[in-house]
Amino acid sequence: MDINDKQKDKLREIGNIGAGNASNALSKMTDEKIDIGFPGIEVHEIRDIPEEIGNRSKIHSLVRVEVHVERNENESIYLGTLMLVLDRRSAKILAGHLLGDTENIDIEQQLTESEESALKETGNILTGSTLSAMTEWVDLKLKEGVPDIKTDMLGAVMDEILLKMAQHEDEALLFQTKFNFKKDLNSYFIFLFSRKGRNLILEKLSV
Amino acid sequence: MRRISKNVNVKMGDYEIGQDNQVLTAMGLGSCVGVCLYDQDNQRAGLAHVMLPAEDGEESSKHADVLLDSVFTEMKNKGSHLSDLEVKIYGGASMFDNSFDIGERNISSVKEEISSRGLNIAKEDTGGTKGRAIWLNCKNGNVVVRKSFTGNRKD
Repeated sequence: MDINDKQKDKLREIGNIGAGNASNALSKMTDEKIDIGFPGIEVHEIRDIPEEIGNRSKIHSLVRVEVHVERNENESIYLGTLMLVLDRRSAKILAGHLLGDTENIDIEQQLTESEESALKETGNILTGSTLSAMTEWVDLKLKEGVPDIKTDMLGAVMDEILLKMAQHEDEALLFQTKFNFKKDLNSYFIFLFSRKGRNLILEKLSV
Repeated sequence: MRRISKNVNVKMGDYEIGQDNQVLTAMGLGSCVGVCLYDQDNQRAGLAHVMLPAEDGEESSKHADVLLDSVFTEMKNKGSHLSDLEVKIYGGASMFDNSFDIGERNISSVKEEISSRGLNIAKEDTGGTKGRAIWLNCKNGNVVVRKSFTGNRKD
């Protein structure tokens, strides 16, 4: 199924509301003002997606949450994966704010377990607020998985998410927006839709 | 005359062949597998960035069999003897705690493709939980491997 401009606009609107909810939640958690950038929504070749987001070889922390659509008791369809992508410095700073300790942030150090938990919890909250925005528009039962986090080269941390989709398709629908949190922080909020997931949503949107 | 080497990046599901002072790279290999082929006589090398294992009926270069077929064929067409090629493989990690086993499946599929051509694997650094970046020197076949937080190693 191809995606037309009207559908793209609708999805952008939904994504924007979801990302807006998410940034509000994040603002409350960190006591900082968080703006969101203009969201991009495009179909990309799966193999090009890491470059769309950043430098493949640079260290990033990625929080991922898989989302499924529950059709009935026995059938669930993989809708896609929500990701929060932060470069190394941004991950440390955001985690510091989440834990209420902004005095002792050492960006050279790897994330501690409690920092990882705080970022995973953020993934949970972002997913929750995004899905509630989605369900206002589409009548689907959405179920979020357990968040995971990994810090490594961007290409490497994205591999599994991309390869899972690449098994069934060559292209994927990428929604991404930047969270502007303090100066120069690079954090991206991303939703990558599988083909089946995208088609389900488009059917329900009927635009 | 000193020639400056030129790095050529190999994208997912793609391959490149280089010569002499060229360096072929695959950055941020997670569960993907980088397959390095080196022809010493001609100072030529090929690097394939494998995404998925071979699968019956799949003709896309995403899959190990199709991609490796292309790189071996092009190496041969350029004058390399396949039996002389030195093969090294890198990648196939499981990046997350609850990973699906795509990294492991990629490694075994690549190994099958290599051995079905009667070739051995000279060096490998596969599996584990860390991403890798590799640089393949076309002149001498050396591979520099970088894993996050551990520094470089030369194979």
